[in-house]
Amino acid sequence: MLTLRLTLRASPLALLLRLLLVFASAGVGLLLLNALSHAVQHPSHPAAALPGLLWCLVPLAVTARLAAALVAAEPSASLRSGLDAAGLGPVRLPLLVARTSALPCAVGGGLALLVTVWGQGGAEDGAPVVSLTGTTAELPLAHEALPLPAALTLLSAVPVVAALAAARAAGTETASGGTAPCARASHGRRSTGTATVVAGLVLIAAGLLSAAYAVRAVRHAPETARTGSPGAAELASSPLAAGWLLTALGLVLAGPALTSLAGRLLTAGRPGAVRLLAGKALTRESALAGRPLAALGVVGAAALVAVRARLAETELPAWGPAGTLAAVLVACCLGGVALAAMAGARRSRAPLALLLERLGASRGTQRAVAAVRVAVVATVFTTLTLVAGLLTPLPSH
Amino acid sequence: MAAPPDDVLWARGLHYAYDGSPALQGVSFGIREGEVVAVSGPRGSGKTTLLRCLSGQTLPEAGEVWFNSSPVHTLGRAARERLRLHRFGWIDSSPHLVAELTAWENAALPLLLHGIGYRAARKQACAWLDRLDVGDCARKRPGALRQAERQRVAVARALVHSPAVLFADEPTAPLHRTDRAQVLRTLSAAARSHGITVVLATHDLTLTPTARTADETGAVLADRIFTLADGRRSRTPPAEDLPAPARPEGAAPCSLSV
Repeated sequence: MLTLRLTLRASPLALLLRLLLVFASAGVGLLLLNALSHAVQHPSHPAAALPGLLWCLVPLAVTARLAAALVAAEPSASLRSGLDAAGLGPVRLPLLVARTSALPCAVGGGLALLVTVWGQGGAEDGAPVVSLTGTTAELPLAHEALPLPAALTLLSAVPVVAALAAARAAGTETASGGTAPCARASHGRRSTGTATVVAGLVLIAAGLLSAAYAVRAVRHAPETARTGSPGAAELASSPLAAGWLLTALGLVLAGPALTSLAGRLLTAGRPGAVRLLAGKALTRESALAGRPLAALGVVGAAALVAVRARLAETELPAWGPAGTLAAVLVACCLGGVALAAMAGARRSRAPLALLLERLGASRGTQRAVAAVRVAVVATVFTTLTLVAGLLTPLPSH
Repeated sequence: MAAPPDDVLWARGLHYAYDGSPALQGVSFGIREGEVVAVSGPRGSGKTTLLRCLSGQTLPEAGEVWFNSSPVHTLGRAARERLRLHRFGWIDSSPHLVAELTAWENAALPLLLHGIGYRAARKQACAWLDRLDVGDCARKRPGALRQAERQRVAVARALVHSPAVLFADEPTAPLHRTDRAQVLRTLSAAARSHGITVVLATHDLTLTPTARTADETGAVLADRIFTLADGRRSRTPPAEDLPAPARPEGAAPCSLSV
């Protein structure tokens, strides 16, 4: 009951994120069932279904990240201290948090299962199909008997992974909660350290290089030779896609460090109050918001790549409904994560705003600080998006 | 009506309530230039609210506040902010330093907000940190400082732009006794030598016997004690009732060069 009450009385942002979590887990559930459907349809090639299943890991990971981001937004600090006083301390809170995030995921999984059962029988029986931008797609497992144990096993992965991620986030949050600014600063240094930057840059370079190398391999693949463009399944299991994924991972890893570097550059020389405050705030918040913003940048870069492919008339293979669903899901979840990170950063700025008001800094100064910070962040991540989007090799002629 | 000419800060009939629960009920207050006044009273007696009304952070629901013969209660938000930035200093019960700025940058924050150049601000802030015996902490972050040192950095931040009036809201609350004495003495010595008017909110002087020792509460450092109880002014305890100030054992030595 406590879980339900905490869920219903949450802030609008937390409710929005929870709703997103329900739909994300439903989407991941459908993708997992789609992979299962593929395996059931081709029982003689079990290995062929593996890449599809592995690609489901990306939306699954993003959903788990969304569950972890939800923990940062909810329970709020005041509620947390109240729960602590009532005996729900750092040990039992992760359990509660795990329950509260497993619940929407289980609901989403149930939705996915319901939809699948509803779609059994396929299009020719007059059973419902899903219409997506002009193309109709059958639901997974439309023609086969539903292998219920396998489906339930696959669907239970989402709540379990989300609950684990949320519990872990709650654990680190409470561990660094008490002495917030200093503890979080040292925690943040880890994600903006030199090792992470180097790892991120190496991953980006490796990803771009392997993608550039793999472009030729894809070009000479049998289906490319036949139809002029690589098939979706072939592309998904090619080193080219792996290279794209590696580049994205590197960008996300390098995001906090880039933000922190921008903050440090901003305070270089002899800064005035606005530059000093904006730069230092950027350096501090890079640990909080760097990765989610970099992930949004990756989404932008992916969109840019799609636009480039269309302009260059190198037909990217039709993604199919599953690919579209996955792309939309990942983009929405990353948007939610970025929203939660912004809210967290805003909360962490509240003491500074209070102090500036005490000191009598004018509203204009505070607005200028915010504007400079937003401008720098926008510049950094737009550049990142453009560079990544323009450098990514396409499977073109 | 015009304010009495000899009072730098003057208030009459202040009323304020937080969501219906009254905090100030008709308080009148006056302070002359260069005077140090201790506002005392138990928690919840309205000390902080009085200081906030006097410094223009909150507007009283009824009553007037005058600073240097000009009204504060009729000023707009921006004008009150300017007044706070240029003429007032504020010390809180906790240091409230910006965690990512160094000690000197924290102390120089008012100057930087004034638009004074980086080097000049640094010079002035470091000079104040030296005077308050925390000069060697100038390049450290607040996280690496002890609480007493942080509070002194906050004192330096409140004094660095030479304000006309300094508001100190229980500046010694989080400190141990030896540190309390030191912070209060540095504060009052600095204020006296620079002719800064000080409004100092302190703990209750009458309830706890230990709090009567002068070094701890600043009561003896003050020219006058203004006692509040339940949002109203109460009778000032006569000075002869206070026991002779005893220096707490192990009081840290304090070099003042203010």
